[in-house]
Amino acid sequence: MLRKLALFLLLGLLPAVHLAAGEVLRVVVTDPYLDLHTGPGRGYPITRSVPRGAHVEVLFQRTDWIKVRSDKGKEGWAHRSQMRRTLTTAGGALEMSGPAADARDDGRLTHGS
Amino acid sequence: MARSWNSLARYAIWAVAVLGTSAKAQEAVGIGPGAKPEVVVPQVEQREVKPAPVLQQNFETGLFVGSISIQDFGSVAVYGGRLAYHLTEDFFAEATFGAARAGRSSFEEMTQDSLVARDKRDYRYYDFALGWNALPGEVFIGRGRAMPSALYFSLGVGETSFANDHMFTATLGAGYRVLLNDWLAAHMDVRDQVYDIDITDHNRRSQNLQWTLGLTAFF
Repeated sequence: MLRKLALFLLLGLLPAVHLAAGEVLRVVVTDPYLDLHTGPGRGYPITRSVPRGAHVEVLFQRTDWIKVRSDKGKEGWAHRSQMRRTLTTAGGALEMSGPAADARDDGRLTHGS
Repeated sequence: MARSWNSLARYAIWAVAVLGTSAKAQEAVGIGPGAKPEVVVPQVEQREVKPAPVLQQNFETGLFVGSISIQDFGSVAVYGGRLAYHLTEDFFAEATFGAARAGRSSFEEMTQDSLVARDKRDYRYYDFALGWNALPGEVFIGRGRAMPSALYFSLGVGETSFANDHMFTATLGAGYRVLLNDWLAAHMDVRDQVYDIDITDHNRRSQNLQWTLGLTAFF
């Protein structure tokens, strides 16, 4: 039983290993402020914000929330709607999962016309 | 005299040639009288830089141990695993499997008889559930550490194998998840497994409560 448990434990936690590696992605905030929540959800409070022009490091995305780290080393969760308005260091948009940046606007135009 | 005419003609030809060339050259750069304005076409093409996509972390997998109260067969240890996919910040889909070994019922203890053979006491189940993160919150440890948490409810269906039978099972559960770091979460989960079982030759509804503690990794 214990041996089985140990094996399960090892197999279960293996996926976490891939998180160790990965290149750092930095973006520039273009909104007046990038609001950082304490957790990946709208119910978690905003405890920090990053001003326009400042850089943040993009760590990973979970559902619609992206964990970022500011230049001062503070971490928080930003919503993808704000993150899609940031710019990468190459001047382009950040590539995230989910609907495209203008999908909602296109949808509204289609339904409204 | 002929020689001087010759030199004059040569100078004239040179002059026409030079003037013509310079006029052409002026037209070519767009400053002459008959020149067409021309936009300078850049010779260097801009390189398209495509940043790496953001790392996704919507799957969650892990293991749990705890206790299950198999109705009539006592409380025994249970262990298993779960795989969840977070659809949105509110909802997740989860597949769970678990295993336990049923104890002896009170009837069996009193009569020294066996309702379920020794080799049929393995209790196995799996289910698919939809979870709802109902109450997001935070856990504070000391003054400088806060970890996001969530109270969730789940509703699912699956199958339980026990006493040489396979029962359709409905599950109803609630749990508490604390994110320990970027990829590791701790769970405390309570789940009721409901199915109809006919060990005593007539169907009866069986409620089987289990509570577990588990660790999961996001990836």
